[in-house]
Amino acid sequence: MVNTRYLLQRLFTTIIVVFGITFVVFMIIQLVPGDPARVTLGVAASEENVAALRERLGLNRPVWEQYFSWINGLLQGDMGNSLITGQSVSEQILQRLPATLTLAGAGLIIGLLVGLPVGILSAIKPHSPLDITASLLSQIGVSIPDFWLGILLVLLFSLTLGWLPSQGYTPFREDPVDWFMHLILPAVTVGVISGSIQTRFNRSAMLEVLHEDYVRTARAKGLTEMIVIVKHALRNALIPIITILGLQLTALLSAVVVVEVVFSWPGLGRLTLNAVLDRDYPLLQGTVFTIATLLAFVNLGTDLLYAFIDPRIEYA
Amino acid sequence: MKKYLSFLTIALVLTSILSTSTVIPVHAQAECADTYTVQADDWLSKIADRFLGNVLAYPAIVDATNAAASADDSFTAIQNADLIEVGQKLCVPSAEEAQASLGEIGSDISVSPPQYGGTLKAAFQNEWAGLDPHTVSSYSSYQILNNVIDTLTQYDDNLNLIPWLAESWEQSADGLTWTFHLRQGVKFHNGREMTADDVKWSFDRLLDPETGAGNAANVGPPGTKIEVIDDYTIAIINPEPVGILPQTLAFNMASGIIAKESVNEDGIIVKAIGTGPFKIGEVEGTTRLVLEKNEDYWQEGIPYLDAVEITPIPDDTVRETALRSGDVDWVLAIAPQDFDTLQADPNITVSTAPQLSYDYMGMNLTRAPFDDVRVRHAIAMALDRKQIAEAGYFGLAEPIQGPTGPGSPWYFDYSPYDRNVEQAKQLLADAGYPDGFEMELLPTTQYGETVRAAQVIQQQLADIGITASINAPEWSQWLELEGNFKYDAYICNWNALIDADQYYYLQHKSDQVFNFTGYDNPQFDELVTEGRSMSDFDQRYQIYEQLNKILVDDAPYIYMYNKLEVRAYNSKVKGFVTRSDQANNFWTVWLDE
Repeated sequence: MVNTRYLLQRLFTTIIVVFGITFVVFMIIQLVPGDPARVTLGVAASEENVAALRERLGLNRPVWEQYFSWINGLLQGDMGNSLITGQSVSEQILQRLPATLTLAGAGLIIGLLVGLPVGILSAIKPHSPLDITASLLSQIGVSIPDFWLGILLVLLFSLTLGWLPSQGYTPFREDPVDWFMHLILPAVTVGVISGSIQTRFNRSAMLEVLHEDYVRTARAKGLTEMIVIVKHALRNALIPIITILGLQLTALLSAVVVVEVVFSWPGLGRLTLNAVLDRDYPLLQGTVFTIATLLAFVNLGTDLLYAFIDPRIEYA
Repeated sequence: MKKYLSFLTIALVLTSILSTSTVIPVHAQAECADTYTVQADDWLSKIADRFLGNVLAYPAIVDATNAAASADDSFTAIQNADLIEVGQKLCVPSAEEAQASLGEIGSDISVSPPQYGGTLKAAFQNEWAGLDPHTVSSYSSYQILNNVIDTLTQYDDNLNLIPWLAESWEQSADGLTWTFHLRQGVKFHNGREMTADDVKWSFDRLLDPETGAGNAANVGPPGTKIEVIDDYTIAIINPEPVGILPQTLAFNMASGIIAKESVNEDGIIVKAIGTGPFKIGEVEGTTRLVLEKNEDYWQEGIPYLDAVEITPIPDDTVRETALRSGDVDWVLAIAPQDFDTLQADPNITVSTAPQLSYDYMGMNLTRAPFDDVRVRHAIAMALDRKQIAEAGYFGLAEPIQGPTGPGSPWYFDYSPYDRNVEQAKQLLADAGYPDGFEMELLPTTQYGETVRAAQVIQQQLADIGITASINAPEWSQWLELEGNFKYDAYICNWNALIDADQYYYLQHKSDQVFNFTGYDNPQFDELVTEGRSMSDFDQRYQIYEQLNKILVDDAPYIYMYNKLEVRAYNSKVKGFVTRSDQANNFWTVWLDE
């Protein structure tokens, strides 16, 4: 069980981690070669113009000053302005975060709906036709590149069949049906790959548990197979299953960059990619920080979830 | 009485003769609703599609032109509809006249005059990096601003300079001052009238070193002053004579006229307020932008569209699919390898024009062995430009050995570098490199064609003993290397070059901002300064012909090919003109729905 003291301790540690994140994020970006002033001005940049723009953007200040100035703003909820467009970074992130969360979430759910049942069933009936098929398909699933799968789906469902739109995003409140139509292809692209990973992992997690002594005992006691599997085996396999789920969410939030580019999905991943290419420091810091912090809290959540599932776990 | 009667008779006879002559079929006397000068890559059905909404309507144009030619010899009569010449002046009838004349020849096709209304769904390639006309440099940004802001002068679809926000202009006797007379009654999108004060404000901000604008040179060299003479008259005073100032003002939207209310509290322009045919409506970050019709636009009757919805689609295949499936109506860039597929699609119109651009290798003249002109000549002669055009741009390009392509009025036929491996090897030996040497090519992933070209060049250089490696960084890093002489030879392109000055001055004059090769030739400097101080085309042509020879002989740039500009859009989109300067003007576009 979780006691309040432990909870507060973990929260505190997470916040320390978040600060650490700010430091790492800031420093890594500073180390990358390339100059945002030069990117804005393009090829048509004289040395004077580049210097003038650097000055105007505050890029000539000492690194420490830039870091503390950023942290200061962060604590007040202000992540600064984009060096390239001048727009508020926090505004842009808030604008695009829902799209990424939607895509990652939908992908995770599709992966779960495929990975959990298929993985468990494969473990229950190893070497059966179902297991072999699932193994083969999941092997393909983890090997194919996401952008390739995405483009293939677009060519099939948008061009040849004309059933679904090829790209873009409609907000849910504007038109729920259209929102869903636009979500299907990118979510399936992401979900197929996530599902393949989850299938393989869940299968091995289940298999391991099914070979434990207590399962054999349960069967010997004469319990029905259903109760053995659900009440005894599955509950114990839940910890690795939830672990992989948490890790998948982490992986998805970064992997969606590629899918967002392919499907013109207006999400955070694509924003981050553009920020990298433009060397837009405040925007890049803001997006990476947001995602990293999100994930720190996801991990906290996963840890706490363990205690609910497994009563043997005591956080003292 | 008799006298009076004879006078009356004569008057009556004359009147009847005159009135008989007006009973001759209407179209012989018809006024042209439009005149059009044929440019490279035009054919009559394309022109008919543009003005009359139907490719089969061209007989009406033939008819109208021939009728006009009988009265006015600036028009050339058309004997063969399949054969029209560049520079030929055509008479385009109005839709009603066209319909009538087509009816007379028994044709039952329908002609549609432009229809009002509708939203054009346009897909760009990259997200726009900012919308402040004074600091942006990305193509996407300019294409949006193109439809939102006006300049004092403008290039029409045939790239002739025409009055735009300025109705007329004159140069002072000493050549230093250009005075522009502004159109009256032009309104900004916020309702305010545009006056000379606004022109001064726009140009001052552009010239201000604090702004750091790369295109300040559109208005003149540093030290240029702007003076308001009265509400509708403005003077631009340059420190040295700039004969081509009216031309440079139209180069791009950096010298457009914007309202000072465009600037927000942080000193940046997020939504430019201009006088253009469209105004910026909804903006969703950099993923969606809607241009709305300016109801009070100073040109009557346009735009036809209610709105243009712009979204960037970075992936080539997805963009093409979106076009073919009808998700979008118009796309900005198509991958050259998709050209044939799109042309074969009956619902898609593919339109081309030779670009005013060139792809080239920039040599580092501050580094051995590239400081030796013989080495540069050797490299120039090692290239098989046709092969590079095939690999780089899938054949949708014309090999060239100088900066100007055949589509430009400034084309000079001077090509001394046809591929000659033996001579190239000899030149290298003369320069002291009989066994060749190693070098690095620097294309950039920002322009995929430069990377493909590099791979072919690598092989071609190997033929003369040069071992070339390829380093293809992304844009930001490439800019760092190219801007600081940290390269052997870089591969890039220059676009949208309209006037001769743009091909020579800023890139090659020794003290100029775009001179990334280190080229320094006093004779060249003198000539190129002279060229821009004059205004007469023929005089300038002679100067630039000499200049071109010097530049091509010195070879700080080795030229490869001139690309074709390709646009693809749904067949219901009418009135769009693919321009050599790659500008995308939506105010003549209408949807046939």
